[in-house]
Amino acid sequence: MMINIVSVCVLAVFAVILGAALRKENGEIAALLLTAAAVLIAFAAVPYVQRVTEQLSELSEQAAVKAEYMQALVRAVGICVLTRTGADICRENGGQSAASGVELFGRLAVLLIACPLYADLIKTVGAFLSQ
Amino acid sequence: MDIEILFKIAAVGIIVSVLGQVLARAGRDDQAMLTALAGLVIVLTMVIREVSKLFTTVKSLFGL
Repeated sequence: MMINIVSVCVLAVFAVILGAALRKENGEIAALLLTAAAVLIAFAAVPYVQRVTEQLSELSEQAAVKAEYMQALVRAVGICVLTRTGADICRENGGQSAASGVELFGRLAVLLIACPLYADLIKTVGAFLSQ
Repeated sequence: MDIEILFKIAAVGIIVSVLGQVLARAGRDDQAMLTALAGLVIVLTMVIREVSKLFTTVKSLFGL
């Protein structure tokens, strides 16, 4: 883990410097270089995500949280990661409006996932109140 | 992490910019433009493949 984070930092700095060197002559390729670096770093994080999700699901089993709630949470995190990556790549290359569109879509998708949870919550509160 | 893709992209960028300058000095601006376009397409193909791979991985990882 420690070695990996060092190499990730070095890779990021290296890519940024290389991108800065290329920007004057070839701006598009510099942008693509930075995008590729971001993708590589995100790939390096994949095994840790898997480990964290496994441990979280174990913890939620111990705490007797419903499996569907945990699944909704994990899916919402996944949508957030995808949205953030897409929006950041757009924004970095000057595509503010495209980034806003991606973010709007991601918000709606997360809201759609969270709606059944809200319904459950309201049902629970209603059951308490009717007692 | 296969860092080679960064080296590949940087190499393509440098080669394209050198070729573009040489061709522009020789008075062949149209060919310089086409070279820049070809380099962009090559790099775009490589990067888009990686981005799509990342998005597919995240999709399967979070069960989307």
